[in-house]
This record gives sequence, structure tokens and C-alpha cells, in this order.
Amino acid sequence: MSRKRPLSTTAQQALSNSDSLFLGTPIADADQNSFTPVWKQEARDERGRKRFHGAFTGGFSAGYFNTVGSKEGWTPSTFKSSRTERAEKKTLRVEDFMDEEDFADQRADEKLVATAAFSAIPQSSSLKDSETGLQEVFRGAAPGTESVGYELLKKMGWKPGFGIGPLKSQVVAGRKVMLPPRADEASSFGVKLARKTNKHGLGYDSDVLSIQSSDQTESARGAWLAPGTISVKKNNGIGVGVVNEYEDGDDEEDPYEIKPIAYDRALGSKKQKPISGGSKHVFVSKTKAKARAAGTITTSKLRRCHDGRPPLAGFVLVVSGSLASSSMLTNEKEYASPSIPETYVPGILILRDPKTVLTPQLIADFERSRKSSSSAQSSSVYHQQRLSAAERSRILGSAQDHLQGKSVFDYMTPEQRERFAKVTGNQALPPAKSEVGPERNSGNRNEAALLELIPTLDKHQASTALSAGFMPYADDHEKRARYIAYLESQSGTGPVSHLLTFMKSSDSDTTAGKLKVEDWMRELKEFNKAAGLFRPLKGMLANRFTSSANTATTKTSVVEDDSTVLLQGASLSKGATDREDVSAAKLGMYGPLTRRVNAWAPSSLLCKRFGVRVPNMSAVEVSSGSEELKASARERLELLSHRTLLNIAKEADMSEEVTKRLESQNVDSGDGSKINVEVNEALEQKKAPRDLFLAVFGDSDEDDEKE
Amino acid sequence: MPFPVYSRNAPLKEHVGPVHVVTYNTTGQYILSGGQDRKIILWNPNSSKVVKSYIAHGYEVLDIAVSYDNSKFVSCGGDRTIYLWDVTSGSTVRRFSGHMSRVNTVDFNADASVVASGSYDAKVRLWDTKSSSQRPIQLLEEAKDSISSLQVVGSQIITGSVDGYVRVYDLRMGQVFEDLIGSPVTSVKDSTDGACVLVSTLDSTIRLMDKSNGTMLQSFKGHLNKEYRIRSCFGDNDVYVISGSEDGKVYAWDMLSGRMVHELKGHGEKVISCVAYHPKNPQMVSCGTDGSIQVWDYT
Repeated sequence: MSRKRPLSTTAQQALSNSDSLFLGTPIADADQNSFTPVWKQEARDERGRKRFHGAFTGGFSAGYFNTVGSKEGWTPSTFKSSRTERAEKKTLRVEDFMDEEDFADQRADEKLVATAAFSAIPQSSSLKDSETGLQEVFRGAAPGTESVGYELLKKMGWKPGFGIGPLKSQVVAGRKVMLPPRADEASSFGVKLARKTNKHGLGYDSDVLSIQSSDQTESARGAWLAPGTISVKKNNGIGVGVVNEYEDGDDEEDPYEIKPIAYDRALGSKKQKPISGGSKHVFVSKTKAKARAAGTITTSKLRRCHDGRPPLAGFVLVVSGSLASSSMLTNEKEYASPSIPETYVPGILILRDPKTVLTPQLIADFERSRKSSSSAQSSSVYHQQRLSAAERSRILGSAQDHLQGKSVFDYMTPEQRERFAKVTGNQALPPAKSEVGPERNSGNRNEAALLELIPTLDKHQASTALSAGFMPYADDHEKRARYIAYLESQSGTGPVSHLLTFMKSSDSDTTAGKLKVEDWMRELKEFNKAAGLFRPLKGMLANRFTSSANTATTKTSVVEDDSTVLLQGASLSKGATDREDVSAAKLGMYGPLTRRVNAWAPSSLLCKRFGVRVPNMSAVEVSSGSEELKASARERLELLSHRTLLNIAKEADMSEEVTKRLESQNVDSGDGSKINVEVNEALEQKKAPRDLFLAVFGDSDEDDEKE
Repeated sequence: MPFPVYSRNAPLKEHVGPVHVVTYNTTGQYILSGGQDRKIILWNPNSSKVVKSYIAHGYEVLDIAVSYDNSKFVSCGGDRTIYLWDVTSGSTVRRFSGHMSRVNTVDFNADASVVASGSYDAKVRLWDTKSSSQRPIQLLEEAKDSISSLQVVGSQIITGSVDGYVRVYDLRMGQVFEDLIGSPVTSVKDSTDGACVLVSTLDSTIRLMDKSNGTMLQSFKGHLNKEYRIRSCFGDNDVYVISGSEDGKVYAWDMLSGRMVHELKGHGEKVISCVAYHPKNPQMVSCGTDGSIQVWDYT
């Protein structure tokens, strides 16, 4: 390649040619015309390591170079050491474990801490004896040496024994002398060295006048200035220096002292004249006194706010708490409450059926019955309740009824009450009656507590469980006896205390057949659950099942009566269950026979659109013709229609969970449109009781699969 | 008030094919009619002039209901869809689909926020006009056969079904009252006082049923109704009971006595499928399978 430029021309030579102007710095290449091909140009970083390795050149060396470790790290090293050739000791460096980022982190974590000699705060926080707060600071760092702060102070002219602070004038030998403060004096620093246990800010001085004592601030108003300022002498005459402390002897005023913040000042308040408060005796005319008493201040002098300025236009000053303030500030008129006739007795008329018409006769009836008796009566049409809170609590069986109306002080001794009064400073405590609490006998308490813990069973449930043909625990007669005793106690046919006899009275009781307390409790709970399961089949469910004992009776009943045959045959056959209402309709006898009322739950959105309240479905009555035998066309098609299931569940007194679940299914099927995304009912329903699970999935005694 | 017996004007023959439904708007100024020709026509009964035509249905129009403020109406038909129309603009505001067969009957609720539709698939669907949901608010599935007629009155939905039952769904009570009539129900109409329901059935009888206990208060016979859906209505503030018939005559009975008072020939020998009475004046309109709509006045 021919070079057009002469070889001799370099940047310096070009610069020296003064007839042309060069801008910028020329490239100071030794050999400007050198040319290296790309593959020869190497990129290295500041440490000389190669950059752009591996992946950039298309090689397979990802994570090989410039990582922690070395080239040798990637190939397994075989350790070889012999007497003649000793293996090198592998000296590991920090760089083998930490990379750039780690180093950066380490540097970031470095902190500069003063060593003991230099630290201002002593390492151990306890005050050594015979040391004042100040001397603690300057305690020597190490025995024999002095702390650096100590030495610095000494250099500056401080002598041990003196305190820190501005010079104070003292009278020595009849003369006023400026002396440094003594070491044991309270530090005149703003910051106390005592441990801080309060929540004030640093430098807070509770001696500073606060907002509450506004009267005092008035007098001191002239002295206090805006917060944080340096006090300046008022006479701003020329030639008066700022630092004049020695002239008039007001040594207390340090011109550079930063006064603590006075929170009761406002900006621009210097010019205000203090309002005549209670300190001045001023002649107040009668009218003014009256006006002041009334609460409305009308005179010009009084029509000022506490900062001396008149209120804003259109506002009137009113003394708080006066008559005027309550009536003026609110536009409400006060009306007397209605007068209650003397013969009025409070009572609530609750109708059993909301459809009954409130005739005057009914109301008169109610009034009469109310006046005549005081206890809660019930009639077929209405029932009245006139229960007081005490009665209600008794009926509800709340445990607190024996504590009604009592306060803690009833149970306290007078000495305890005095102690309370002293501590709280409140003498107005109720008088102490040293009463004794209701439960004092511990022997009975245990029993009573245990009796309370017995799980209760609904009376009706208990009696049906008792009358069930099948009693559980066939193999354990004692347990069965205990079960029967439990059922009896719950149905009211047996005493509850009898159950306690099954339990060991104390740990040392070794009578056979008695249970320990925990076992006893557990067994009772088991009985509670079992009572729910082992019950006689009733109603619709009974129709579905026949026991071997019953077939004989059905045969005879079929043969007995033609009409019953017809009826029974009709009930079992498919097409004839509607006969009653169909025949009634045919005859034209429209009415209760042809009418069916069923519960139907409108969806909440529908109710909203129609502007009606969602009806309470549990209160809805359902009526149909003859319950058991009649089945609608739809039920014929289903093996066990949903409605039948519901009725079976209701009749058989199944647990609330089951009926609720059935009902909820019913409601949802009719309302296919609403899908609530956040709730998944299939997943969120409660699990069936464990007994049910066990009954279904539990281990069975016989072998399952013999094949 | 006298009964409108005179067919003063010539019948309106805008429709091609049977007219299935005719209804007044709430003031009685206009009539909406829908027929086999998939058209809905809005016209002035006094002048017999066509005001507007609404054409959107793919199949015949089986029922029309007007909202309380006369600004909207809803129509349904054989294409299984319910159309919500804006009267003035003549365009379809919304379409509700979901029924599985032809929709026989449709009605608004009091403030036109809910549209109830009953269909041949035995279901009543309740649609929400306020939201843009494609699904009905609720589905009423109690009926076993085609829903032939329904009416929304206050907080009740009255449905009549071919399975012979009239079902009154009461939202306030949370109950459904099912009254077995005996034969397939073709028309249900609530009385003005809300105490009874006028039920037309396929045994050529119209019954007045008491809503509270399901008893029959009155029955009206004399017309012919064996095969087709014939609609009946009250007239003149529940004084009269009016019905079409399959023999081409409009029948009117006195409600209290049950006595037939009028027999009006109007549509040849063809079936008169629907009658409607003016909300205030003594006027009524009837439509039939001959495709004509006849306005009846009292002079």
C-alpha cells in the first residue's frame, strides 16, 4: 500500500507549523501508521487480565477465565509428593475465595472506629467510684497512659480538677475573679451525661416555660425571643459591641448562647401587648361583667383573642363553656323530651305470625294481659317479653349473673383500697366491702367444674338414641352401660351426677372399672358423637329400608284391606302419585289439594333488582299434600331426589352440618349463573366429622379382598 | 264503561302471515304487534298508521313486552333469543340468548331492570338489563313442560306451563306457589288488585284462580281453545274477561258472574291468538292467524 503521507510528519511537527490552527489533542501514537489486525488487538483490563474471553471468540470457556480460582482449578490435580520431589504447598490467597464484588462489599463494610485511646466514650459505661460525670470522659485509656482527649485538653490549658464550661465569676479574697467551673458542679453543657430514659428530644429542658403556664410567659415575654436566635441587646447604639459581658455584670447572659426553644411564642409576637389577665386589677363595669358572665364579650377591650388581635371579621369571641357557646355555636334549639304518661309500662308485642292483622281487639288484649301479670306470658297470637337484664342473663345461663352489679371494690379490704387511693392519687374510689367471693369451697368446685365439662346432647336426640333398636359397644357391656347412663342423663331420665361415679375420684383410687379423668372425658365425648349416629330410622328414610322383621307385617297389611292395597299400590307405582290433586283438579275442587307451596330462594341480585329484601329461607314454610307417600314427577325420575334427601335429613334429625350442606347445594343448583371467583365452595366446605370418615373408610374387621 | 264492540276501522294488514302477539304501550297510544313474518310493527291504533317497523328476528316473534316508561320493549321468538329494543331509535340494545328452544313469552319487571323469559324448554330465565352479563340472574326450573305464558307483577313472577301448573314465584316470601289447573295452561294474567290470576287452558275454559289459596273463583266457557295458544285478558279495570278463540270470534264475559256478554266476529274463521285491552279507554285490539289486527272501539 502506498502511503500518501510522508513518513516523517508527526503530530508535533504538525503543531509546530504555526500557520494552521489545530483543535483538540492529537493522538500521541508512537507509530501512528501502525496497523494491527483485529485478531491481534488484545483487550486487557487494568490488571492485565484478558477480557472478552471464551464466549466472545466462540470458544468453549464459559466461566473458565477470570473466575475465582485458577487455571489449574479446573483440571483435577493429582497430588504427588515424594522424598525427592516435594509437593508445593498450596498457598491460598484471598483472591481465591473472593472476587471483585466480594471485595467491594468488604470495603463497604469497613468502618472507621476510634481506638480506645482516642475514643471519647469510655468503653465501660459504669462510673468508677469517686468520679464525676465529666471525669469519666477523660479517664485514661490504658493504665499508665492518658486518653488522648485528656492530653488535648491539657494542651489547651485545662487543668485536671476543673470542669468544662465558660468561666464563672467567683469572689475570692474579696475580689471577683473569673474562674473555670469546678469539676463536681453540674455540667453547664446543654447535654447532661446522665443516661437518657425520657422521650424528650436531646437538649430538651423541662425548665423551659411550656405552653400551659401561659401566664408566666407574659411577664417573661420581653426576655424570650424567637427560638434559636442569639439574644441581642436592645440598645442598638453604634459603638456598642456585642460581647459586653464584663461591663454591666450581667454575666449570666452569654451573647452566643442559644436559648432553648420556647414553644409558646409566635412569629411577630414581639409587638404585642400582653392582654390584661388576672394579674392586673382593672375596673370592670357591671355591663361588662354581665357580658363576660354570659359568655359573649362585646366590649372592644375584651373582643380580642389571646394574642391581642381582634378576631376575624364576622366572628365573635365566645368564652368556652358558657351558655352562649353551647347555644351560639349550634343552631339547634332544645326541645323538651316527650312526657311519658304515668300509666305507661314498657312492653314489646311480638306477633308469632307476621300476617295477623293488628286489630284493636288484639292490642287491647295485649295491654290487658301485660298489666295483669309481670312474668313473661305467651299466647297463640302474640308473646310478650318483659324481661330485665338480670332475668335474661339468668335465662341465658351466663356465668356472670352472680356478679351482677358488683365491682372489684366489694371484695377488697379497706387497706387495699387505701393503697389504691394512694397510688393513683384518686380518693374518690368506691368504698371497700371485704366480701367473700361466691365460690369458696374447693371440694365442690372440682365436681361442679367436671359436671360442666360433660358434653351436652339435645334432649330429643338423647331420647331417640335411647329408643334406637341398636346400641353400640356390643362387645363391652360396661361401656354400653356407661353409654346408656350418659344418654339417660342427657334425656333427663337419669341423674347427671351418676356419671361421676364412673370416674376415679382421685389418682390413688384403684377401683376396677373406674376410669381416669381424661379417659372419662374422652369417653363422654365419644358418646356424644355416637348418639348422633346410632339412631332409629324414621320417616322417609324408614320407607327406603325394610328390615327382615317388617316384611311379615307388610304382607298382612296388603291382604287386609282393599283400600290400603290400592293406596299402597298407588304409592309404589309410578304414574299415580299425583292422583289426589289431579282428580281434585278434574272435579274442579281447586284449593289445598291442588296447591303446593315450596320454598324458592330468589338470588340476591334478583332481589336487588326487584327492590325487595332477600327472604330468610330458614323461616319459609313448605306445605304439600301428603308428605311421605306423595312424590312429584321429578322425584320419580331421580333415585333419591334432592328434596327427599332434605326432608329425610330434617326428619331424621341429622346433624346440622349435613342438612346445611344439603340445603346449600339446593340453593346453588337453582342459581347456576352466579359464579363467585374468589370462593370455591367445593374446596371450602368443612370436612365431615371424623366418625363419619372412620365409619366409611376405616378399617373393617373382616378381610377385604381375598382374591 | 261500555264495551268496545265496533270495529270501526279496517283491520291492519301489514303483517304477512299469522300475528302472534299484540300489546298496548303503557299509555295506550301505540300498539306493538309481532308475527310470523319476524317483524314487529309499532302503530297508532286510532289512525291505523304504521309508525315504525323493527326487523331483527330470525324467526317468528312470539311475544312483546313494553317497559314502564315506553322507551324500551323486549321481544322474543323462535330464534331462542330475546331482543331488547329502544323504541325511538329502533335498534336492538341487547340480546339475551341461552334458551334451548323457542322463547314463548317475555316480560319486564316494574322498573325494567329484569327481563323474564319463558321458553319451550320448560325454563324461565331472568335476565339483568343493567349489567352486561351474558348469563341470567336466575333460572326457574320447576316446570316440567313448555312455559306458555308469564307475567311479572310487583315482586311476583307468574308462569303458566303446558304441564298444567300455574306457578307464582314470590320473591318477598321466598316461596313458589304451584297450582294444578289440570290441563295445559296457555295464558296467565294477573288481576289489577293482584288477588287473582286469569288462566286460560286448553280445555276451552278460562279460570279465575285465587292467588292466596289456589281456589277457583270463576270459570268462563263458551269459546274454543283446544290446540293453539289463545291469550286472554281483563278489560275495563277487571270488569270484563276477554279472550280470543279458535273459531274466529272474540269473547267477553262479565268477570263477576261468568256470563258471556259479547261475541264479536272479526277475523274470519281464523284463530284469534291474542287480545289486548287499552289501559284507560274502552278500546281493545285483537290479532289473529289471518294476519290482521283489528281495533275495537265502543262507538
